[in-house]
Amino acid sequence: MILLFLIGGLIAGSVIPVQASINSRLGREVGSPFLASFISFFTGTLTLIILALVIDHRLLIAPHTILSHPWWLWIGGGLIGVFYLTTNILLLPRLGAALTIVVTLVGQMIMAIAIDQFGWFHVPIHTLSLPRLIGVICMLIGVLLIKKC
Amino acid sequence: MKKRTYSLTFLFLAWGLLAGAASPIQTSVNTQLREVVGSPYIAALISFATGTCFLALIVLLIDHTIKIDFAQIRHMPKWIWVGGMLGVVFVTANVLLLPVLGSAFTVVSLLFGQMIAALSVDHFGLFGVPKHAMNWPRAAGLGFMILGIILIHQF
Repeated sequence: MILLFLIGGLIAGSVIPVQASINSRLGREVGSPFLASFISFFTGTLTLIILALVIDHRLLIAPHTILSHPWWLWIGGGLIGVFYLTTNILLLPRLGAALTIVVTLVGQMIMAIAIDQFGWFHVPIHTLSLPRLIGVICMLIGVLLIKKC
Repeated sequence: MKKRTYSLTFLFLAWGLLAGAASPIQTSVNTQLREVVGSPYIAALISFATGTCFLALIVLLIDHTIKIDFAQIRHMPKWIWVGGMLGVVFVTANVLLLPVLGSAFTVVSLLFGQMIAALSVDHFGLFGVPKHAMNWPRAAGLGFMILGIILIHQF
Protein backbone atom coordinates (compact mmCIF):
# COMPACT_ATOMS: atom_id res chain seq x y z
CA MET A 1 0.00 0.00 0.00
CA ILE A 2 2.83 2.39 0.96
CA LEU A 3 4.56 1.43 -2.29
CA LEU A 4 1.47 2.50 -4.21
CA PHE A 5 1.59 5.92 -2.52
CA LEU A 6 5.33 6.23 -3.23
CA ILE A 7 4.62 5.59 -6.91
CA GLY A 8 1.86 8.20 -6.63
CA GLY A 9 4.48 10.62 -5.30
CA LEU A 10 6.81 9.88 -8.23
CA ILE A 11 4.02 10.52 -10.72
CA ALA A 12 2.89 13.68 -8.93
CA GLY A 13 6.48 14.96 -8.90
CA SER A 14 6.85 14.30 -12.62
CA VAL A 15 4.02 16.79 -13.16
CA ILE A 16 6.33 19.75 -12.40
CA PRO A 17 8.81 19.45 -15.32
CA VAL A 18 6.00 18.34 -17.64
CA GLN A 19 4.00 21.42 -16.67
CA ALA A 20 7.03 23.69 -17.19
CA SER A 21 7.69 22.15 -20.63
CA ILE A 22 4.05 22.43 -21.71
CA ASN A 23 3.85 26.02 -20.49
CA SER A 24 7.09 26.93 -22.32
CA ARG A 25 5.59 25.57 -25.51
CA LEU A 26 2.35 27.46 -24.80
CA GLY A 27 4.43 30.62 -24.40
CA ARG A 28 5.88 30.12 -27.87
CA GLU A 29 2.45 29.46 -29.36
CA VAL A 30 0.75 32.51 -27.84
CA GLY A 31 3.85 34.67 -28.26
CA SER A 32 4.40 35.58 -24.59
CA PRO A 33 5.74 33.55 -21.64
CA PHE A 34 3.79 35.80 -19.25
CA LEU A 35 0.54 35.18 -21.07
CA ALA A 36 1.30 31.44 -20.90
CA SER A 37 1.83 31.74 -17.14
CA PHE A 38 -1.47 33.65 -16.87
CA ILE A 39 -3.35 30.97 -18.84
CA SER A 40 -1.84 28.27 -16.64
CA PHE A 41 -2.89 30.02 -13.42
CA PHE A 42 -6.31 30.83 -14.84
CA THR A 43 -7.11 27.24 -15.86
CA GLY A 44 -5.69 26.04 -12.53
CA THR A 45 -8.04 28.44 -10.73
CA LEU A 46 -11.05 27.10 -12.67
CA THR A 47 -10.03 23.53 -11.83
CA LEU A 48 -9.70 24.41 -8.13
CA ILE A 49 -13.12 26.09 -8.06
CA ILE A 50 -14.63 22.79 -9.22
CA LEU A 51 -12.49 20.79 -6.79
CA ALA A 52 -13.38 23.02 -3.82
CA LEU A 53 -17.10 22.85 -4.69
CA VAL A 54 -17.05 19.08 -5.04
CA ILE A 55 -14.99 18.33 -1.93
CA ASP A 56 -15.76 21.19 0.48
CA HIS A 57 -19.17 22.28 -0.90
CA ARG A 58 -18.19 25.91 -0.35
CA LEU A 59 -16.07 28.68 -1.85
CA LEU A 60 -16.53 31.73 0.32
CA ILE A 61 -14.58 32.96 3.32
CA ALA A 62 -16.08 35.19 6.00
CA PRO A 63 -14.90 38.83 5.68
CA HIS A 64 -13.82 38.96 9.33
CA THR A 65 -11.53 35.97 8.72
CA ILE A 66 -9.81 37.91 5.93
CA LEU A 67 -9.48 41.09 7.98
CA SER A 68 -8.20 39.40 11.12
CA HIS A 69 -5.09 38.00 9.43
CA PRO A 70 -2.04 39.72 7.88
CA TRP A 71 -2.25 40.60 4.16
CA TRP A 72 0.68 38.40 3.16
CA LEU A 73 -1.23 35.31 4.28
CA TRP A 74 -3.71 35.93 1.44
CA ILE A 75 -1.42 36.96 -1.40
CA GLY A 76 2.04 35.65 -0.40
CA GLY A 77 1.56 32.12 -1.74
CA GLY A 78 0.12 33.38 -5.02
CA LEU A 79 2.95 35.86 -5.61
CA ILE A 80 5.66 33.30 -4.94
CA GLY A 81 3.81 30.75 -7.10
CA VAL A 82 3.83 33.25 -9.96
CA PHE A 83 7.56 33.87 -9.53
CA TYR A 84 8.32 30.12 -9.44
CA LEU A 85 6.12 29.10 -12.37
CA THR A 86 7.16 32.01 -14.61
CA THR A 87 10.84 31.39 -13.82
CA ASN A 88 10.40 27.75 -14.89
CA ILE A 89 8.77 28.86 -18.16
CA LEU A 90 11.55 31.35 -18.90
CA LEU A 91 14.51 29.17 -17.90
CA LEU A 92 13.44 25.83 -19.36
CA PRO A 93 14.13 26.61 -23.04
CA ARG A 94 17.49 28.12 -22.04
CA LEU A 95 18.78 25.56 -19.53
CA GLY A 96 16.85 22.42 -20.52
CA ALA A 97 14.37 20.61 -18.25
CA ALA A 98 16.85 18.74 -16.04
CA LEU A 99 19.09 21.70 -15.21
CA THR A 100 16.09 23.97 -14.56
CA ILE A 101 14.57 21.45 -12.16
CA VAL A 102 17.74 20.54 -10.25
CA VAL A 103 18.87 24.13 -9.76
CA THR A 104 15.47 25.11 -8.30
CA LEU A 105 15.66 22.03 -6.05
CA VAL A 106 19.03 23.15 -4.67
CA GLY A 107 17.60 26.61 -3.95
CA GLN A 108 14.64 24.94 -2.26
CA MET A 109 16.84 22.75 -0.03
CA ILE A 110 19.17 25.60 0.96
CA MET A 111 16.20 27.77 1.96
CA ALA A 112 14.56 24.87 3.82
CA ILE A 113 17.78 24.39 5.80
CA ALA A 114 17.98 28.14 6.50
CA ILE A 115 14.37 28.13 7.78
CA ASP A 116 15.21 25.22 10.10
CA GLN A 117 18.47 26.81 11.20
CA PHE A 118 16.95 30.13 12.25
CA GLY A 119 13.46 28.90 13.14
CA TRP A 120 11.74 31.28 10.73
CA PHE A 121 7.93 31.11 10.41
CA HIS A 122 7.73 29.62 13.94
CA VAL A 123 9.40 26.38 12.77
CA PRO A 124 11.29 24.51 15.56
CA ILE A 125 15.03 25.29 15.30
CA HIS A 126 17.07 22.49 13.73
CA THR A 127 20.71 23.50 13.38
CA LEU A 128 22.85 22.61 10.39
CA SER A 129 24.54 19.25 10.97
CA LEU A 130 27.56 17.87 9.11
CA PRO A 131 25.47 15.30 7.16
CA ARG A 132 23.14 18.12 6.04
CA LEU A 133 26.12 20.15 4.85
CA ILE A 134 27.46 17.11 2.97
CA GLY A 135 23.96 16.72 1.50
CA VAL A 136 24.04 20.28 0.10
CA ILE A 137 27.53 19.68 -1.34
CA CYS A 138 26.27 16.45 -2.98
CA MET A 139 23.42 18.39 -4.57
CA LEU A 140 25.81 21.04 -5.90
CA ILE A 141 28.02 18.32 -7.40
CA GLY A 142 24.87 16.87 -8.98
CA VAL A 143 23.99 20.21 -10.56
CA LEU A 144 27.52 20.64 -11.94
CA LEU A 145 27.50 17.13 -13.42
CA ILE A 146 24.15 17.71 -15.11
CA LYS A 147 25.22 21.17 -16.30
CA LYS A 148 28.52 19.98 -17.77
CA CYS A 149 27.21 17.12 -19.86
CA MET B 1 30.82 35.50 -27.48
CA LYS B 2 31.45 32.16 -25.77
CA LYS B 3 32.30 33.94 -22.54
CA ARG B 4 29.07 35.90 -22.71
CA THR B 5 26.84 32.83 -23.07
CA TYR B 6 28.73 31.28 -20.17
CA SER B 7 28.02 34.17 -17.81
CA LEU B 8 24.41 34.25 -19.00
CA THR B 9 24.05 30.59 -18.02
CA PHE B 10 25.29 31.45 -14.52
CA LEU B 11 22.80 34.28 -14.33
CA PHE B 12 20.01 31.86 -15.25
CA LEU B 13 21.26 29.35 -12.67
CA ALA B 14 21.31 32.01 -9.94
CA TRP B 15 17.78 33.03 -10.93
CA GLY B 16 16.65 29.40 -10.70
CA LEU B 17 18.24 29.08 -7.24
CA LEU B 18 16.31 32.16 -6.12
CA ALA B 19 13.00 30.86 -7.46
CA GLY B 20 13.63 27.50 -5.76
CA ALA B 21 14.51 29.29 -2.51
CA ALA B 22 11.16 31.07 -2.61
CA SER B 23 9.23 27.82 -2.69
CA PRO B 24 9.67 26.71 0.98
CA ILE B 25 8.46 30.21 1.97
CA GLN B 26 5.40 29.59 -0.18
CA THR B 27 4.89 26.25 1.55
CA SER B 28 4.96 27.94 5.00
CA VAL B 29 2.51 30.65 3.93
CA ASN B 30 0.15 28.17 2.30
CA THR B 31 0.29 25.82 5.30
CA GLN B 32 -0.84 28.67 7.57
CA LEU B 33 -3.49 29.72 5.06
CA ARG B 34 -4.77 26.15 4.98
CA GLU B 35 -5.29 26.21 8.76
CA VAL B 36 -7.04 29.58 8.64
CA VAL B 37 -9.52 28.67 5.86
CA GLY B 38 -9.85 25.04 6.99
CA SER B 39 -9.38 23.45 3.56
CA PRO B 40 -6.30 22.76 1.44
CA TYR B 41 -8.36 23.19 -1.74
CA ILE B 42 -9.71 26.61 -0.81
CA ALA B 43 -6.20 27.63 0.29
CA ALA B 44 -4.85 26.55 -3.10
CA LEU B 45 -7.73 28.32 -4.83
CA ILE B 46 -6.86 31.59 -3.05
CA SER B 47 -3.22 31.12 -4.04
CA PHE B 48 -4.09 30.47 -7.70
CA ALA B 49 -6.70 33.23 -7.91
CA THR B 50 -4.37 35.91 -6.50
CA GLY B 51 -1.62 34.61 -8.79
CA THR B 52 -3.97 34.93 -11.77
CA CYS B 53 -4.79 38.56 -10.89
CA PHE B 54 -1.13 39.38 -10.40
CA LEU B 55 -0.22 37.81 -13.76
CA ALA B 56 -3.01 39.75 -15.50
CA LEU B 57 -1.24 42.92 -14.31
CA ILE B 58 2.18 41.66 -15.43
CA VAL B 59 0.87 40.71 -18.87
CA LEU B 60 -0.80 44.11 -19.28
CA LEU B 61 2.38 45.89 -18.20
CA ILE B 62 4.75 43.90 -20.41
CA ASP B 63 2.64 42.92 -23.43
CA HIS B 64 0.15 45.83 -23.19
CA THR B 65 -2.72 43.47 -24.02
CA ILE B 66 -4.23 40.18 -22.86
CA LYS B 67 -5.22 38.62 -26.12
CA ILE B 68 -5.29 35.04 -27.35
CA ASP B 69 -5.66 34.56 -31.08
CA PHE B 70 -8.63 32.20 -31.18
CA ALA B 71 -8.17 31.53 -34.91
CA GLN B 72 -4.81 29.96 -34.09
CA ILE B 73 -6.01 27.75 -31.26
CA ARG B 74 -7.23 25.10 -33.69
CA HIS B 75 -3.67 24.58 -34.89
CA MET B 76 -2.20 24.15 -31.42
CA PRO B 77 -1.83 20.71 -29.81
CA LYS B 78 -4.66 19.99 -27.34
CA TRP B 79 -2.30 19.14 -24.46
CA ILE B 80 -0.97 22.66 -24.45
CA TRP B 81 -3.85 23.79 -22.19
CA VAL B 82 -3.37 21.29 -19.34
CA GLY B 83 -0.43 23.03 -17.60
CA GLY B 84 -2.66 24.68 -14.99
CA MET B 85 -4.46 21.45 -14.20
CA LEU B 86 -1.12 19.72 -13.69
CA GLY B 87 -0.31 22.35 -11.06
CA VAL B 88 -3.52 21.39 -9.29
CA VAL B 89 -2.59 17.69 -9.50
CA PHE B 90 0.67 18.51 -7.70
CA VAL B 91 -1.07 20.46 -4.92
CA THR B 92 -3.70 17.75 -4.46
CA ALA B 93 -1.13 14.94 -4.41
CA ASN B 94 0.79 16.76 -1.68
CA VAL B 95 -2.37 16.96 0.43
CA LEU B 96 -3.24 13.29 -0.08
CA LEU B 97 0.26 11.81 0.29
CA LEU B 98 1.48 13.70 3.36
CA PRO B 99 -0.67 11.95 5.99
CA VAL B 100 0.13 8.49 4.58
CA LEU B 101 3.83 8.80 3.73
CA GLY B 102 4.98 11.45 6.22
CA SER B 103 6.93 14.51 5.14
CA ALA B 104 10.30 12.85 4.38
CA PHE B 105 8.94 10.17 2.03
CA THR B 106 6.50 12.62 0.44
CA VAL B 107 9.25 15.13 -0.34
CA VAL B 108 11.79 12.56 -1.51
CA SER B 109 9.30 10.78 -3.81
CA LEU B 110 8.05 14.08 -5.28
CA LEU B 111 11.59 15.35 -5.90
CA PHE B 112 12.74 12.02 -7.34
CA GLY B 113 9.74 12.06 -9.69
CA GLN B 114 10.59 15.60 -10.77
CA MET B 115 14.17 14.74 -11.64
CA ILE B 116 13.37 11.51 -13.49
CA ALA B 117 10.69 13.28 -15.53
CA ALA B 118 12.97 16.26 -16.27
CA LEU B 119 15.76 13.97 -17.51
CA SER B 120 13.19 12.11 -19.65
CA VAL B 121 11.84 15.35 -21.14
CA ASP B 122 15.40 16.28 -22.12
CA HIS B 123 16.31 12.80 -23.36
CA PHE B 124 13.29 12.39 -25.64
CA GLY B 125 12.88 16.07 -26.45
CA LEU B 126 9.26 15.92 -25.25
CA PHE B 127 6.84 18.86 -25.71
CA GLY B 128 9.20 20.58 -28.14
CA VAL B 129 12.06 20.93 -25.61
CA PRO B 130 15.49 20.60 -27.32
CA LYS B 131 16.81 17.01 -27.14
CA HIS B 132 19.57 16.33 -24.65
CA ALA B 133 20.45 12.63 -24.44
CA MET B 134 20.93 10.86 -21.10
CA ASN B 135 24.56 9.96 -20.39
CA TRP B 136 26.66 8.66 -17.49
CA PRO B 137 27.59 12.06 -15.97
CA ARG B 138 23.88 13.03 -15.97
CA ALA B 139 22.99 9.72 -14.30
CA ALA B 140 25.76 10.33 -11.74
CA GLY B 141 24.40 13.86 -11.22
CA LEU B 142 20.98 12.37 -10.50
CA GLY B 143 22.59 9.97 -8.00
CA PHE B 144 24.34 12.84 -6.18
CA MET B 145 21.11 14.85 -6.07
CA ILE B 146 19.20 11.96 -4.50
CA LEU B 147 21.99 11.24 -2.02
CA GLY B 148 22.05 14.92 -1.05
CA ILE B 149 18.28 15.10 -0.57
CA ILE B 150 18.25 11.94 1.57
CA LEU B 151 21.15 13.20 3.73
CA ILE B 152 19.39 16.53 4.29
CA HIS B 153 16.13 14.83 5.21
CA GLN B 154 17.64 12.16 7.46
CA PHE B 155 19.77 14.43 9.65
